[in-house]
Amino acid sequence: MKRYISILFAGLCMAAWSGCKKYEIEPLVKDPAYIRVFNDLTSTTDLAHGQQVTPFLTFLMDPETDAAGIPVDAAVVGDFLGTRQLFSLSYAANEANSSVGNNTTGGPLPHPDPPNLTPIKYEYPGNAHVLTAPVINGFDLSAWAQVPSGKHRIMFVIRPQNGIVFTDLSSSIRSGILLDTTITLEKGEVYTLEVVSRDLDNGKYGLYIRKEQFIHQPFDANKLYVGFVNLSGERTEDAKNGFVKVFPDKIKITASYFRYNDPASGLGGNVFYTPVPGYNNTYLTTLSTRMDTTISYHPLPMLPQSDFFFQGLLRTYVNVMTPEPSKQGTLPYFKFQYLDADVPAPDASTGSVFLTNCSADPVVYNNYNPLTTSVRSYAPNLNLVVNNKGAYHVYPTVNIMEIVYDRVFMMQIARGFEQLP
Amino acid sequence: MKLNKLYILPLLLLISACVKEPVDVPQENGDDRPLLTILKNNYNFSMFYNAVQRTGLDKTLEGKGPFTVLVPDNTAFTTSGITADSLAAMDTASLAKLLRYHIIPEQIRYAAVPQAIDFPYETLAGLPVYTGVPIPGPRQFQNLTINILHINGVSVSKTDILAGNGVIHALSRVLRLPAASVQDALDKDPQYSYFVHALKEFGLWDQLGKPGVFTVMAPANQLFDQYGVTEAGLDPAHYRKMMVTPYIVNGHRFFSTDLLDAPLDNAQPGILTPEFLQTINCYNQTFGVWPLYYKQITDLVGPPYWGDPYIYGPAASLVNSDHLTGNGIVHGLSDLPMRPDSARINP
Repeated sequence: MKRYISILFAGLCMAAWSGCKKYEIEPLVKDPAYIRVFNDLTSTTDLAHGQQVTPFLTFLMDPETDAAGIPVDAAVVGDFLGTRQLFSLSYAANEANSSVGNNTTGGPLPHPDPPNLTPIKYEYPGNAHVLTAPVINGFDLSAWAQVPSGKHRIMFVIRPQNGIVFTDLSSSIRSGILLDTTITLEKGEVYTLEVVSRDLDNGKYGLYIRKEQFIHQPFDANKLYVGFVNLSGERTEDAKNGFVKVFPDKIKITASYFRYNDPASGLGGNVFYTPVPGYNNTYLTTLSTRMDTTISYHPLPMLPQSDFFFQGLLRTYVNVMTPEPSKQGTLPYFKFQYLDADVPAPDASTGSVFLTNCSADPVVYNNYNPLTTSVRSYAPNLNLVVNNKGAYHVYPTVNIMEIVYDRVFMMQIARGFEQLP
Repeated sequence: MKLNKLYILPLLLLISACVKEPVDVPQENGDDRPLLTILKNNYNFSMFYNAVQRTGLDKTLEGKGPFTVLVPDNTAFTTSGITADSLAAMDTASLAKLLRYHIIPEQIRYAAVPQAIDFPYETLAGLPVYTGVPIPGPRQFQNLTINILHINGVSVSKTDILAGNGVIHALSRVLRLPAASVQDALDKDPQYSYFVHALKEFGLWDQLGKPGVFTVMAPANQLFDQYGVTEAGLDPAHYRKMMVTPYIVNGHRFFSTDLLDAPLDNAQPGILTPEFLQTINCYNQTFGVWPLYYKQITDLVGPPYWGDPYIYGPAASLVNSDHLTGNGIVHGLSDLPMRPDSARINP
């Protein structure tokens, strides 16, 4: 009797033990480099622009090809890669959210945009289940994926916007290769890869690779940093003819820092911001070249914590969708103006310039459609507000503003998160 | 002891739970009937089936394939002005060539069509057909939850009728064999004789026979008749060259269905040439001509134009459209966007 029970027990243990190993664990990457991939294509094909492609891609690293050279599968596949969101963080928060096509705010009235029921990813790795980068130089870099360092073949394939995964697509679609190139990744380095338009009129596209320097640079713990880079391609005929409005070729950038003036505004009366002394349309830099792979970060002041609160409550972000004039919130914010360095004056006919009001709420910012709302004039606040244990604390950040034709893609790299408020 | 036997039961259950063999996913329920059987059994495809039999192409379609057969249903034949009698009267060789133009020697299901306009697929006739599907985006207003497919500007009424050796897409019109060139297409069509005469008079005729890409918006003779313009009167002595230049869209090729599949941005009213703006209104499906200084007109809601940049003539709809040729496409127009009075040389 006793023997039977022990045999039964042993059998039970064996069954339980062998039942445990359900999933294989992803092996650790040896000597990893870190990559993040974006699709920066902002325009699509239409009947007058047959030379352009639809901005929906599959990213392949080290592809396997068939006898005809058509990619079949790859070591790393970043499928359903749509045009990136205007705002991206350095860690994977809200990565499954969408801005174009999927939104319900800001579609043409009276109907919102039709819902996009097919998968769309705004970056690789995004929310993909892959090993990501560790904290380097005090930055949370979990939006970068680990890949083996060394030489890699990179391919981008134009794919239709549907729910079919890359490996099941027809060979005529898989043969629509947009880019095919080889890159070398160094061990421990952080790379941002972006598909950019080099010359839209002639249908030329390219890969922009930036070896991120912010992991090697010292940053003042109590300062905000912002860097600009122009990733537009050649100026298109449409832009020259005024059909579309794009950033100038040589961009002069000025910065203003605004603080809410409580006494003057009458608290809830007319909104009233005053510039912080020294930051009223102050010249920052001029971008005279495109596709720069090094970014110079400009230090900007970080206001004391008390400036972000009013009577103990956190001040408010701007509501992008509220009509003027009650559009502004009450948090301090930066405004960047982009002028033509050759003709540094506002547009003669409309009096307007390109600008970025960094005053929006980062949580909802990407929900607005950049094509149908005024959201392109806004960006999330450079001061990162974090709620920890019921208390708000404002952290400085490092920001990369990437200018692509008619919009600014903002990448915010969070820092100081290891400090307790 | 009885209790011990009960222990064995969960043990067996646990062991079976450990087996992690890949699950056999049932195969997709495809149709393994051959193409010919589907054509034969479908009354709506009877005209196409009869034609296939008469030309002996049934031998081809019996083959292993796979084939993509673009089948105009009986309604499509009627819409294209072909009756059972006239189909029977067609000579076998040219009918065979037309039918071969409807067969692509590879399997192309809807999901396999690239998201582009004018994507070529070679047919058995040795000439390409061009597929067009809606390009997603903020300007796209077609219902993307249904499979919209256009072939040479012809709508597909039913996609993905699966067969054992291929796939059938049902067409809503019979495809036309492309003419050799735009010149050829215009020359063959007697209703464009005034336009052809004018093109020759203004020295624009020769380019339309050469390689290149053109979309020609051809005004028919009766439109000129309406304004009392005679064929002989269409010459440089009476009219400026702008009488005909706006009708040639150089460097672009689009079917009428592309206007909805790949509409232009709202900010872009059309295609700019050195002399005009050839406007293409994708939602009204019209073609028109604006002067280059149209912005000054649209900004001024007052005399003389009251903000209306159609100063040469009205926007015209596309009629009798999508005549594919070797170097472009010919569409007909419902009106003259360049009124003869706007181009007349006043004595």
